[in-house]
Amino acid sequence: MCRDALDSPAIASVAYALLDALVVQSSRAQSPAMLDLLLQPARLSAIVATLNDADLAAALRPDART
Amino acid sequence: MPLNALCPGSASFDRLTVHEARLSLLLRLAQTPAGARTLVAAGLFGMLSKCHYIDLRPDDYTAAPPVVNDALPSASTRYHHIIMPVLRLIDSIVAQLHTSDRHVLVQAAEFFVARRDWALAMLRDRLPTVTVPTLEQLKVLTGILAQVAAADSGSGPATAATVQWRPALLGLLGKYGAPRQWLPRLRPTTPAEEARQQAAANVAAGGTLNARDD
Repeated sequence: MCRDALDSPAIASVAYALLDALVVQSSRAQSPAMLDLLLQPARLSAIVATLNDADLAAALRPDART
Repeated sequence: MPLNALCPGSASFDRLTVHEARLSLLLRLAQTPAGARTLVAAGLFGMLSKCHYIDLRPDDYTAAPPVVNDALPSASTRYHHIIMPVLRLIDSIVAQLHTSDRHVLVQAAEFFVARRDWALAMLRDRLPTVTVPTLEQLKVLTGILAQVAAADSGSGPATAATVQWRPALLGLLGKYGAPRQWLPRLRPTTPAEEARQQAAANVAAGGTLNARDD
């Protein structure tokens, strides 16, 4: 997954949902390929790094709607 | 309910939607031992320790309208949507690894020690009202802390953390041990909760009337 893509909210939320669905599918099919792909440390570290999202603090402001 | 459905097109809600989607993926991965282990190795607890938004627990539970039924959820509702996935992720990792990887419990304890003021504010639970979201947060948080406390070896972060939490946890026991003490202060935060509370009140009132008839 491209790190730049994760910076775009629209792309990121779809990408995460898609990856989530692929993990579920991989688990149901008892095919660990997708899980192995995601669990590569570099990929997972890139996703974990996005947790520190400064914009989320702004989303908690009373005027977050605008 | 996805928050973007409540307020589509807002930049803030876009961020919340991304947060929920991201945490959903991480939670899915954390539900396997291999995934949980890799998340810890990827520095999850260190990264969470840097997340400023975790500290921003609002105290507007009294100022906000009791029922949110317009397009804008209250700050407490937004916070709930941010913090619950984080708590569930930690809970899942700790549950997966607490027996096999004790150092994970220490890392979790270090996270809560770093977030001491936030964790104690949650545990002291001094908000004047009781809501389902705050109860859900407390349920997951106390579940995590119970597992982390198992790593208490007499010294180190887990010990420091458990010593700090103990009075607050005992306070929660006294507060929520008997439903009659807190149920009257339970405040609905959604129309569905309000309807359930009204139905329960009607049933209780019916029971009282029937008792009088007897």
